[in-house]
Amino acid sequence: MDENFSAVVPMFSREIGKELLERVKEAEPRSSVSHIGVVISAGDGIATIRGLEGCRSGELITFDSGAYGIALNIIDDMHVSAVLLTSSEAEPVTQGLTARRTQRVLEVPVGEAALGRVINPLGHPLDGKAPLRALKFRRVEMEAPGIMDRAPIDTPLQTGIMAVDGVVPIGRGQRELIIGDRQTGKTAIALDTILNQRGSNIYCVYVGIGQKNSTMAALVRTLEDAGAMEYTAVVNASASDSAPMQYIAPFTGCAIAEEFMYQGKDVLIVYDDLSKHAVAYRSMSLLLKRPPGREAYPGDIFYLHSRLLERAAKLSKEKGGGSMTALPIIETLAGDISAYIPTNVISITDGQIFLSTELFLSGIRPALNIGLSVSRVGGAAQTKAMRKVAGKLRLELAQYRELMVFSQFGSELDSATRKQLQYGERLTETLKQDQYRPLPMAHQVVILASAVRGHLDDVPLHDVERFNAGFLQFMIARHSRIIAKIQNTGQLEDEALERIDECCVEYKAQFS
Amino acid sequence: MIVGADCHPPLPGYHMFLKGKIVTASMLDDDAITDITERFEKRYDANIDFTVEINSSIIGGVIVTVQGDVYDGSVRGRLKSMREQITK
Repeated sequence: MDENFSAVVPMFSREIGKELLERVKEAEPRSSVSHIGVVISAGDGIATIRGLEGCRSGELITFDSGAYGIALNIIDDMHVSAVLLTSSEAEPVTQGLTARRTQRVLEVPVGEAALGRVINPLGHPLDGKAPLRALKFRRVEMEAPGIMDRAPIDTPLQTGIMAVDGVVPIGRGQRELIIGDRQTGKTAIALDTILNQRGSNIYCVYVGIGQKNSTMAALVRTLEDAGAMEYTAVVNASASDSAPMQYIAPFTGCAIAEEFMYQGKDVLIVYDDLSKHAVAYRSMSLLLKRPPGREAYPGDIFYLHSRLLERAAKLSKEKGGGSMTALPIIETLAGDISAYIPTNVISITDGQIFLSTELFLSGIRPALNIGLSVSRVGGAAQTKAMRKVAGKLRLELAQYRELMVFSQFGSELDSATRKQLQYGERLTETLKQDQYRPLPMAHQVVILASAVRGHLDDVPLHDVERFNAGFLQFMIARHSRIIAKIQNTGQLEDEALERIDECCVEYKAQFS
Repeated sequence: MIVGADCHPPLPGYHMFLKGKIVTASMLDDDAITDITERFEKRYDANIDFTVEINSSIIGGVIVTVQGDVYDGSVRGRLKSMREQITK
């Protein structure tokens, strides 16, 4: 064994030596021309530089202290304002420092190396592990796919949350906004969706913008414990990071996701949250002395979010057939979805999941306000089976809500109305779901089938949750073939539906 | 009329005066300095006053800096460009 090895080593080094010699012969020593400038003022995260001739807007600038900056204001031929991208490795930028053009735009490491890692917007590790060994770098700002490069959305992205998959289904390549006041379960929906992608070949990227470090640490811990970090990359720009870092963070995450998308994979990206992103961009723009507009936001605040979200798409077969599904999160104040930033993002996305504080506090979790939530992709993003059982859900619940108002007046109700109310109550109760308990599509279909077909009408309201859980277990134990068929084919034949009806009656008999 | 380096390009009828720096590995003789000065003055259409600095770490050649433009003709710079090509 040893003899073979020692014979092989000189062979390899000969090969390597030959290759190196070739390259050395071909290499041409070149002189270079670069353009430098001098920092004439630095403060508040902005450096004003004199010189840097030919510097272009958005160009990456390096400073002799090791710091990076992006030239965002080209003042005149001789002056440029650059925002500083601070990193703990670099010393602060001071007056008199030399600045150089890189003639490039900011690029970040992308690829499988990013999975399982927590990185900052520049690609530096935050999880204490070694720096990313990425084979490829990708620009953070890239053009969104053109019209001819796109294909219609036809595959569901299963969130595992019944209320979402049933009423506001999300397709791969869709942008669905999660919007609501603080503490209404926005991040919980995004997190459950990521957890549900276990075993599904979908890579996930979670971008934290302006979050507390403690929150991010807990979130990463949750992902690790559930084994989700294997397929998830986390980009973090916390509240203690500078505004430019928070500004870049979603674009870094998008670049990572985009790389996978163009490789033909399906990716999910969560932006948590774009409200803080808008605030960071506002801070940066005001310091750059850009004119403030409504609510002091810069005039291009819409473009900031539209160019980010347009990069999420479903690609055509010619382009690899990959997709990027985006779940941006926006925090509203006092439930006002007609405020500036919320309306901006609502008009960009393909639907929204609106979470209400009242519903949350009254125990309905996920606190989905079905009236204000919509998925503009709708049924095309559902399996046939789910469409069959959930098709009427929205309408039924809307009718229930109208009746609910009347019932509060305590007026005498006829039996038909009372029945409708009871049905609606049980439907609502069925849609409640615990956090960290995503359900596979077939399980959702079975539970919804029993609820929608009226089997819960004679089950006491406070027992509905227990009944549904028990019925599901019953089906898994005794009739797993039905469930497997639904899961594998995505179809629900009429016979299968009848079988489920029969099983329901059977289970009810033994339910106490 | 003398116009400072901030005015770029210069207004017609005015003449620019610029400052530049030459970094060299070993002492340059006057002819070499004059030669460099003339070439750059023609390129920039201005009067350039060069200061000469000696820095042996550039190994050989010169690095000329004028008004924010750095012309790296040093041996160190060329070796760096070769290294980048080889290790690509």
